[in-house]
Amino acid sequence: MQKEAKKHKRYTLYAPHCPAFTLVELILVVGMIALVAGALAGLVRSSYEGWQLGSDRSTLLQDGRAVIGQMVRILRQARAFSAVSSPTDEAGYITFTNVDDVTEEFRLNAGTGEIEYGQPGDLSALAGAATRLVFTCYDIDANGLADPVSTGSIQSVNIEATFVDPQDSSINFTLADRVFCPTDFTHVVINEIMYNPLGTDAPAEWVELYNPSDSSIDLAGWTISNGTVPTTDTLTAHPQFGDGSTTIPANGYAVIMAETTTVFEELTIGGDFENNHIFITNWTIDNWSRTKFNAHTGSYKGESSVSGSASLYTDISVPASLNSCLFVFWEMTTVPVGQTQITVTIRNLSDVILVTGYNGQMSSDWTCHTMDLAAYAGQNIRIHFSTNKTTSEGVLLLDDIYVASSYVDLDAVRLSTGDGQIANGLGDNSDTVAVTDGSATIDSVTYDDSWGGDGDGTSLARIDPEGGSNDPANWQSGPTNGTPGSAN
Amino acid sequence: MTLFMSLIMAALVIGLLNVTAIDLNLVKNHMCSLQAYYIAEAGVADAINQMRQNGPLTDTQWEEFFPPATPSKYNVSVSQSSTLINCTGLAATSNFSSVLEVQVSVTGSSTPYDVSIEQWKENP
Repeated sequence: MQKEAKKHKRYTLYAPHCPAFTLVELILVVGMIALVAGALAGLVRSSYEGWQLGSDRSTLLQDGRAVIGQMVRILRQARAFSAVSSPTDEAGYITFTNVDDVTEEFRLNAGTGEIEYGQPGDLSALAGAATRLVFTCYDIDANGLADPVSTGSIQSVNIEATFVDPQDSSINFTLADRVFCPTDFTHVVINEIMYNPLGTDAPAEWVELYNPSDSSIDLAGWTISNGTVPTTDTLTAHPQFGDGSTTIPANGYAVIMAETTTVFEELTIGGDFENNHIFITNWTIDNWSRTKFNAHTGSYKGESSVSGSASLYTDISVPASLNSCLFVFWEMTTVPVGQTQITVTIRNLSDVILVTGYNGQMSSDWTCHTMDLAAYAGQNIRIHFSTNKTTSEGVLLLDDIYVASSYVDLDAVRLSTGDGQIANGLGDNSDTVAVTDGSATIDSVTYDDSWGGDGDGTSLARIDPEGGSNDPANWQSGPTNGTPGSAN
Repeated sequence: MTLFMSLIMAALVIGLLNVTAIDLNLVKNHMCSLQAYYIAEAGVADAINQMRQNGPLTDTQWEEFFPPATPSKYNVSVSQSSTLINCTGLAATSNFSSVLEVQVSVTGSSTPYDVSIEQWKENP
């Protein structure tokens, strides 16, 4: 009996009413509790992971919504685009001028996976966990713009952004939206045409473009063509006239000219130093000479090598009627910096200084200086250069000195066709003038001499820039010599 | 007692799991509806742009895959004297759709016409 009692010894928990239990029962109960606890722990963990997943997805969702919403809102108000990534670039960027005329950018930083926004060079993260940002741009005819994208042709932008859970790349989603941009981005119009000027046509023809939009537009790479025998010229900054810019400011004008166009009348003679007789006949020189090689253009330039003062000047008559009168010269020196001085003055014929155009050190490379002499219209003036070289070393150089009166407004952008005429010459009876941004046609006019400007020295002037390009009622004869670079 | 407690806890955890699963589906559905919404918005932008370019559109409808080369698309219809744009965006991968109904007015006599949004209804 004692043995039997020992074999089934019962344990108590020292609780007054707790029943006693055997060791086997204890093990069974503990095992069951462990099993249930383990299962519960697994369920809790699954539940937590599920919650975490939902949280991550929710964050991605909010990031996506924030980014697409902001991009659409801001790009919809953009005034111009200046750069955009290739449509195949998955780490895309787009640079634009915002509604406040500030340059801004959206960009995917492939290193951090963040979509960034701000002014170029000062971007801050808009959202993270993005793996793809693609901008696809379309022109006015809904044609996709291939790389390199002509930003001036952008009329709409597709945005695609893919967001991925950084912990689990299988969790991702893509949002896409489309932004249509104001149609006046590339709203440049052909505004005035001198297709049949007095005298020889080729060098005297010109075409004026007008930008009626509120944003500046860069015409680099744009083309002009005519239709008689289709010929296309690519527009570049005019090599002699203008400031080298190809950008029409908002509500500004550009004048497309041949390089030798006689829209300008050169008033100085011999300032290119190419012809010795013409030079010495028209210029008064003191310690300056005409030498060959290393000229800015052509073969000859002016040179002074003496130590001390030297000068040269010429007298000109500025026409009474003109829109601008440009004084241009190029200078450089081989003298060490700080050892030469050049002073360029405009004087009356009594040698009284009217204005100092430039007073400073000469440059180590050919450098152009310009000034407007329109204030001296109708006067005889003297263009005077004086130099002072404090060393016997080196030489002083001058070249391409000219004063040119022009009917072109001083503020107009000057564009060149790269040769001696507009396309292959504009037809005197009728022709089609078309301007493209390199891919899409921006404006095209098929004129007829019955519209105006028919060989009597007047231009063909557009009445309403917003009116039809091919509506005869929207064109009329302009004044004699036209109004290139200013309103019709 | 232990078994009873375990059962209660298991029920709680299973309930929690169920809630989490519902949350996950909610977020997923929200993602899909957002995709569909933006597709519909692209369609409305398309219609407004055409009005800016061409003036009031006669009653018409068209559809376009968006983004291009994907099965997702928007379907635009313009009615009520060219002032009511109804656009349905369909996110093909989830079959979710979103409808936008936009009342506009078009003024002006030449490009670009002025298009003003008078009313914007989402999933009316």
